[in-house]
Amino acid sequence: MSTTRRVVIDPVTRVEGHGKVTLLLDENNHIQQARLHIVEFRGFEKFIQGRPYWELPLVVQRLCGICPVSHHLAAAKAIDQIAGLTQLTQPAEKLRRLLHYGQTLQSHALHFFHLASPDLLFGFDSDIAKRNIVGVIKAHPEIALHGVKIRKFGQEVIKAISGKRIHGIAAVAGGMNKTLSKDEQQALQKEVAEIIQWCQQSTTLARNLYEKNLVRHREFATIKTPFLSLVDKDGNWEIYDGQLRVKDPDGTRYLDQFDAHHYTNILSEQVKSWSYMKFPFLKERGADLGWYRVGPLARINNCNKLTTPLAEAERRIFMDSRPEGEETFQATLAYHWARMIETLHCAEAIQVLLNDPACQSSDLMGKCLPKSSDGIRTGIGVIEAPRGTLFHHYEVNDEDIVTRANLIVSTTNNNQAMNESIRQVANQYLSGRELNPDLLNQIEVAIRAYDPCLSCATHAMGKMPLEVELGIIKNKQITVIDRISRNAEGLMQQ
Amino acid sequence: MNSTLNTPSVADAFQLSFIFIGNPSRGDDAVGPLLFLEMEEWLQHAKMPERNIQLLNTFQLEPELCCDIKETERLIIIDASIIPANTAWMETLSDEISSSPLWTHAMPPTALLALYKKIYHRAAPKTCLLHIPGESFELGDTLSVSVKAHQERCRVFLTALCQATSQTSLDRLINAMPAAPD
Repeated sequence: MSTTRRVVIDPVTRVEGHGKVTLLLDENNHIQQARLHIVEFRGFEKFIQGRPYWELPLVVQRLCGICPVSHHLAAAKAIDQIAGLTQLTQPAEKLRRLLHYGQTLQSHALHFFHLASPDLLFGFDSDIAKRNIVGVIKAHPEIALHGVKIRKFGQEVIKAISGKRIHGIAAVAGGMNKTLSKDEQQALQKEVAEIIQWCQQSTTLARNLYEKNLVRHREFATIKTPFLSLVDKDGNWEIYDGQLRVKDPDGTRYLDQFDAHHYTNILSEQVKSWSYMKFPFLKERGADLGWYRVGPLARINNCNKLTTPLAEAERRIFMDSRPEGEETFQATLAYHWARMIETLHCAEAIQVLLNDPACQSSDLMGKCLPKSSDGIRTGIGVIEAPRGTLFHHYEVNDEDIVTRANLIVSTTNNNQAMNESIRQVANQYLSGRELNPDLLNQIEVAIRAYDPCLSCATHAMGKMPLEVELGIIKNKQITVIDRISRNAEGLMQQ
Repeated sequence: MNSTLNTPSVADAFQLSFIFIGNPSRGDDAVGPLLFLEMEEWLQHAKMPERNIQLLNTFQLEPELCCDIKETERLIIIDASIIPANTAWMETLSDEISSSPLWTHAMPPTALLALYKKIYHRAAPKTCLLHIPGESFELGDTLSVSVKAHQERCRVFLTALCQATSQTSLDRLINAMPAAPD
């Protein structure tokens, strides 16, 4: 008779939304199964149905308080197609890019400085009571203050273009509804050089923290996967538009310059009974072998280069730091370092666009073809959100009403990878039959590397008590034999 | 979102900031953003003596809000609450956190104040949280009947706070509100 034990971690701290982790052990205490459960669901796709399509860029932003601009732009790209747009004007495209750089800058800054840096600066095993942003401010006041100000700058870029720091309206079907005024441009120009300098320092910090504990960073939660992301026509780093590239761990390009509008030809989503978050995979490889990773680590691995000098120099250092003989950088904790390289690139790219007169142009609306025929029209917007590739897919009837919506959000793309990282960490750190805060902590550190936004993936509200259960399965019955929890104030109870 | 009426020529004028929190698409969670819009409209048309008032609207509290409230002397946070109560109530917040709250992409109000204190090396502005008890927070829900009633009373209360000519009179108004869920 086989005996298995189940460990439940519920939910994961410092991750947006509500998650739960269960580990199933065999009688030899080997991890038989690791699952990140997503237990809350609010059906955003259903909510969108029945609305006129032009509302989409406004409404879908309410999925998330942290990456609303990415949803806004992905929806805008989709409704451009529905409206029959032939070509976005150059000023409109540049403004959309500027908006998205602002979004990525602020989102990455929030994650690195406020969620990840406590782990990285104090160590994964340090006292949880001080491992938060207040602790960082106390011990490293300058770093923490830079984090606040970088994020604030990103929000100001968003506000200048969309009128609000959150949930503004900038992109409309066919273009943009507002240009960047001279005053707004000048106000941002005054600050951007200092922001670039701080981002550069922060990238160096992320690199130093990685290299300081090289062996652990290389091994911790590390799995070997393909990477999926957009790249531009020259294969360079891209977050607003471009084509799909999938690179295998050995550096081979499984796909390149693949038109993202045809993503359904290459991707499928698997539904599992124990989670509301779907499991996307490359169709040709099947659900078991076809999963991949997205996000900063994928984008930095996949691109030929970054188009700004400081970030490109950092990318080269990053890629040269791969373990010898490896063609791709697979270390899960390298997500943090890659994230900061992207932050630096966004700051540099913002500076370039602030100096571009096109961003003050009023030529903001492209030409749209008249509706050619009745029937279903489709719009597919694909963009690189801070956490990875984001797909918005809509169908609209001849009365301009949304009849079908499918969203594959960035966190969903990383679903299987997070499960596998949890399995890897649990195999390493779970010993015997004792539950302890250290194990929870290590699993949380692994999940946080992906910066999952479960709010986006499932549209959940964040409730942050933490519970771990240890059970034994005998004859398909689970008996709980131990329980440990962390309440919303971070206090452990056993 | 930021809206400011800034004419600081009265001797005892103090900067009063309001942060309205909520998601307009999540049922009763929309009460914060709706009150923000009402207050913004009211401030534009109110014939008031010179005041220094800042209105901020946000989906969730984030660290950089510390920069917005840097000069604020009194802060009122308005948010829908899941704590059952018959009326809206005011909670005075501390800038001390005794343990390590488990933060996500959104911060609890006390964590924002604690962050302020650490960044600026001074006490955070005296802050109260206006809890508006909600019933339903599902996506696509409209405001519940009870929250609509709370919304109107809260709007009247908030406009009164804006008209307070001193911090003492502000305190008097705040103290007249329930300090706990009834």
